[in-house]
Amino acid sequence: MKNKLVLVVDDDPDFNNLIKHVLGKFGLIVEAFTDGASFLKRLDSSAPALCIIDLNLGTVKEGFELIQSIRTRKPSGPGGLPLFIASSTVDHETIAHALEIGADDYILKPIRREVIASKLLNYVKSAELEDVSLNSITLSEGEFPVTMELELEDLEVDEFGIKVKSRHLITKGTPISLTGAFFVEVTGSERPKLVTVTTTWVEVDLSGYGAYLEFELADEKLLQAVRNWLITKLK
Amino acid sequence: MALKNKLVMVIDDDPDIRTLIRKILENLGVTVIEAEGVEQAFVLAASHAPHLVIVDLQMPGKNGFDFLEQRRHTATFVKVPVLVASSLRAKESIYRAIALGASDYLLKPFNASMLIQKVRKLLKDIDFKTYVFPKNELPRSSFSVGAEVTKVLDTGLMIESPIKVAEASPVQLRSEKLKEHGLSTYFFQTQNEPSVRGVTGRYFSRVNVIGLNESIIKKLRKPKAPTPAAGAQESRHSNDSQSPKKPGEQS
Repeated sequence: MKNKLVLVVDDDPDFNNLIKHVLGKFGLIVEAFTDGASFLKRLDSSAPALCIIDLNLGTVKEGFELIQSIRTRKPSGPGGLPLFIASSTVDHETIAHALEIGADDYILKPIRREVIASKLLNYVKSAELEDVSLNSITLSEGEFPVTMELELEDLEVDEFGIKVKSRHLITKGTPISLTGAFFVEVTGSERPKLVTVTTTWVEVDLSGYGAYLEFELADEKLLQAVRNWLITKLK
Repeated sequence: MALKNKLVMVIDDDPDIRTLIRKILENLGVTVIEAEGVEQAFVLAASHAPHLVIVDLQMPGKNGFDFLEQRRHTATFVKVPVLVASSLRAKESIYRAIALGASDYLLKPFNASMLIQKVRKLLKDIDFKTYVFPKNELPRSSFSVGAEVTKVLDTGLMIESPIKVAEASPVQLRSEKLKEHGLSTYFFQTQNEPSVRGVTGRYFSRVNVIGLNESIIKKLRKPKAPTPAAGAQESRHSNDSQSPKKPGEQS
């Protein structure tokens, strides 16, 4: 990890100095910029181990454009460039969107030193693991499909969908099969229901992510069962 | 304003009127169910919860006024707005319907635009309320999504999926290939590192197999053997259908 390069761009020099100070203690070399253009120029001529950008550098739209500019230069993914967004004022749906268009993770301001150390360093270490994973066998596309099953908590139900909380971020637009106590109670069946993720956000307490899962609109039976359930519950 | 997927119940003994209203409203994306009388409306209420009821005041047997009185005792209808339709022009009839709880009045013969205007107005803020689960009793659900193993690693698998999976998180994986290698009953857990977003927008997660030993990793890394006869294949799979093993438990 020593001597690995970190690039940060934020118009707040105090934030830049804090990042330099904390990451510097771990032997990382931090170069800080206050505008996107100089940051991108340096990115073009270097191979950083991590980048941190202020999502509010200009407008949020410019923040998204900066993420996309970075990604056209340096890909994401295993062996790619980890990209963090730092933010203080944007809403949590905006953060989730930034994660979906190219950022890998986020830190909220005012930032705590231990967050910088643990969260940021984890990504730098992860990239190192990729470098030393020499005994992996790469499979061809479609060779090994799996179904992944994870848990979440139900927060609210309305007639068109269900709001949930999860430790995991589910990409917007993803169709998933959902099962649980709520559906068993509503439909009397354990058969999974197909839902689509239409909105995602970072939970206010940073404990995970929220998502709104929309029921299949063609499933009139389910929609009717949910309405009947709501009438009973909200009497 | 979204009329799509709203449900409207039309109660009228005249099938032509019911058909006319249905055609007008279905053009707006509204779903319509028909009842030819008050009795049938209450039967339908057991399985249908409409957002709006349109009822004719003048029907043989129980009429619209009876519906307005009776609906106050039915959970499905009590909070649903009611649009009464009638050729009765007498003000007393209109006042009586409103006093019994009708939200609006539509004079017959009506034109389509008047019907649409009134329906839009009544459906404007009609959504079923949201039920919020009590914080200390949040029900748990599980979801499954298609993913792909892109690499077999020293201690586990690299999985590509549309999920940014949290670090050190238990994950259940199901796959015919895992069954073939006797791994369908093992527990999986993401490593203590974040999922990384790939160029396609999907995420890569390293997943460890809990309780994995060297012989199983060797099996996973071997090229797949030629497919045996169907009978032998089935008997190997049926041996694998047990409840998931606890971590550390070997097959």
